[in-house]
Amino acid sequence: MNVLIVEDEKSLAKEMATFLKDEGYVCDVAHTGKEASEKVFVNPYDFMLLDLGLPDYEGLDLLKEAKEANQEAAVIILTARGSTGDKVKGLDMGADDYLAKPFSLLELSSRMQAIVRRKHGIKKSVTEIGDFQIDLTNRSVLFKNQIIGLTKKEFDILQYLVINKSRVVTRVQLTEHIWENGLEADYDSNYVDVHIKNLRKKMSQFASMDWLETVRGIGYRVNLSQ
Amino acid sequence: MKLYYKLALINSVTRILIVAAFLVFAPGVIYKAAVTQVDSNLVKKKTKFFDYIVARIGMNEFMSKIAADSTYSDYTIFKENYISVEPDKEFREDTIFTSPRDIEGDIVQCRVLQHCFYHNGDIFLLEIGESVQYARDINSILKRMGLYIMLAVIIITAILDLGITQYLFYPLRKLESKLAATRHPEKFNFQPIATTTSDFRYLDNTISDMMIKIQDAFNIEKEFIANVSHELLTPISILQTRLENMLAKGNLDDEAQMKIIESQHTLGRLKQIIRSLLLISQIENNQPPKEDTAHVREILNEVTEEIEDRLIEKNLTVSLAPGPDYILSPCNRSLLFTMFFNLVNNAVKYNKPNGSILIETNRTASAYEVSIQDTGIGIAPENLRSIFHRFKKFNASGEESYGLGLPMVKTIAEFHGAEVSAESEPGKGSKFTVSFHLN
Repeated sequence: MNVLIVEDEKSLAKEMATFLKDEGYVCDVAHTGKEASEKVFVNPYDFMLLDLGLPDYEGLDLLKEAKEANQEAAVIILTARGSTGDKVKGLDMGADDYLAKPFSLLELSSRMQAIVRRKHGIKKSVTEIGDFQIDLTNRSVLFKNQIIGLTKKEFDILQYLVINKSRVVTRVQLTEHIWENGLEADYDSNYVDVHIKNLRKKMSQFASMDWLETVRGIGYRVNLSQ
Repeated sequence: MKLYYKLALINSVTRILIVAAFLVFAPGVIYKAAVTQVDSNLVKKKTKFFDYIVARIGMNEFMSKIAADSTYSDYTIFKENYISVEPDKEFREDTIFTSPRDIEGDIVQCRVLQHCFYHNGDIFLLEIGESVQYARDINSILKRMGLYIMLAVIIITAILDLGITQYLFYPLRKLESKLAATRHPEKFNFQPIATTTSDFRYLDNTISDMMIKIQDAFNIEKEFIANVSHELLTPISILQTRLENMLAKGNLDDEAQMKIIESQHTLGRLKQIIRSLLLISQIENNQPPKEDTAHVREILNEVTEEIEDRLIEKNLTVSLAPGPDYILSPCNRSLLFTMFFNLVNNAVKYNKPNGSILIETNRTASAYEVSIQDTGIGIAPENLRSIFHRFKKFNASGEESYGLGLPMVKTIAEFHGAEVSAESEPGKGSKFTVSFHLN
C-alpha cells in the first residue's frame, strides 16, 4: 500500500513514516502543498494523510486535486485546528476520515485498516482470535456462532487490541481510544483494567483467553504467536 | 414609552393648552378689539356728520329744525348708526361709553359718543351710537361651541400626529428590530435601513461601524485561538508519536519503558488542559454550532451509562430519579453531554466509598432544572463562590484535578442560556443544579 504523508512539520512526518513503514506501508512524504500537489499527479497512492494547516496551500484545495487525480485514493484529514467546519467540509469533499491532532499512531493505523476493509468491500470482516470470532462490522464477538454480550467499551477495547495485534497497547492509548474527544478521558484511573477484567470474565467462560496478555505496568497485548 | 407616543402626547397637551387659552382669553380680546374699532369709527363719523349737515342741509337750517322739534334723531344718515341732537344744559367733554339703546323696538348694546357743541350761544348734545352686538354674539357662540371644537381639533390632530410620527420613526423601529435580531455581533445584518432622515442614517452607520470593529476583534481572537491551538498541539503530536514509536520498537529495558509510560501520562494531562482551555474559549467566542435538538433525560441516561465503569472502585450507585423531560432546541448535544458528564464525574471523584449519586429533573414555573447530588466530601463555604473560576482547586481528596471541569460546565451552561449553582455541606455532599429558563 502506498501512502503519501502531507505534513509540513518534518519531525511529525518522520515519526508517522517510521511507524507506517513498520506496519508494511510504502511511505512518501511531502512537506509542502506544492510538493504534494505534484506527487499526487504522478503517483497512484492508496492513502493520503493530509494536514490541512499547510503554510503554502489551502488544504481543502489539495484534497480536491488528489480526488481528481486519483479517485481511489483514501484521504485522512489531520488537523490541529479544532474547527468542526473544516471537518464537515473535508468529509463532504470526499475525505474518508478525520483525525484531530494530537493523535495516536495506533489510532491512525486502525482507522487506515477500517478504510481498507470498507473500500475493498471485505465481507469477511470476521477475525479469528483463539477460539473466538470477532465481527468488526457487526461489532460482535462469537464463540461457535454464539454471541457473547459485551458492553460498548469492552468491545471497543477488544477491537482496538485485535486491530493492533502483536503490539503492546498502553493504558493511555486505550483510554484515549475509548474516550475519543479527550475531554472525558481520565488518565489517572484504572478504568481500563476494570474493563479488561470484565472482558476476561465474560469470555473465558467459553474458551481460553491466553492470547490476551497483560504487560506488567505498561498495558495489554493480543499475542497470537503462542 | 415609545418616542413617537411621547411626541404625540406632548403635541396633544400643548394643543389642549393653546385651545384652552384661546377659549379663556378670546372673548375679551375680540370684544376689546370690536370696541376699539367702533370707537374710532364714531370719532370719524362725528366729523363726517358736521360735514354732511353743512354740505347738504346747512347748519342754520338744521339747527332751526332742532329748535322746532327740540330734538333730532335719525338712523339713516349713516348706516348702522344712530344719531341724535338735543339741547343741553351744560357743556361736557367728549365721552364714549357703552349703553343700551332702543333701536327700532330692540334693546341693543351700543357704544355711544357724546359731543357738546355751541350754536348761536346755546349748548347742544350730539350722540352717535353704534351697535357692538355682533361681538357679543360671536363670544356667546364661542362659549357654546368652544368645547366641541376643541375636542374635535385635538382628536383629529392627535390622530394625524401619531400617523405622521409613526411614519417618520419607521426607520428607527427597523433599526430596533435589526438590533433585537442580533443576538451575537457575528449575526448582525449590515443591510442599511431605508431612510431619508439624516439622524437615523447616522445612527445606523455608526452602529454598523461599531459592529464591524467588534467582529474584527472577534475574528482576531478566533484566529489567535486557532493559531495557539496549532502551535501547541503540533509539538505535542510530535512528542506523542515519538513516544509511541519508541515503545513500538520494543527494544527498551523495563525502566525506560516505564518512563515512557509516565511521559505518555503527563502528555495526556497536557493535552486535556489545552483541549479544555480551547473549548472554553471557542464557546466564549460562540464558535461551536448550535443546531441539535436534544432530550435532556436522554443525555442524562447516556451519562449514567458512560459513567458506570467509574462507580466500581468506590462501590457507588448512581440513579436518575423519575421526572419531567425537556427538549432543548437549538443546542449542541455533545457539549451538553460533556457538561453533565463533568458534573456526574465530579460527583464520582469526590464521593465517599459506598456513596450514592442522585440525578433529578424538575420543572418549576420559570425553569427546567437538572440537579446532581452526591454524598461526598463537600465543599467548604468559603470556597463555594470560586469553584467555577479557572484553575481554582480545592483538592482535599487526593483526586487529580486540572481546575477546568467546573469552569467548562459554567461556560457550556451559559452557551445554552442556563445557569449553574452549587450548594454544599462539608462532609455530607454537594448539589449542583443547572437551570434552563423556560421561554
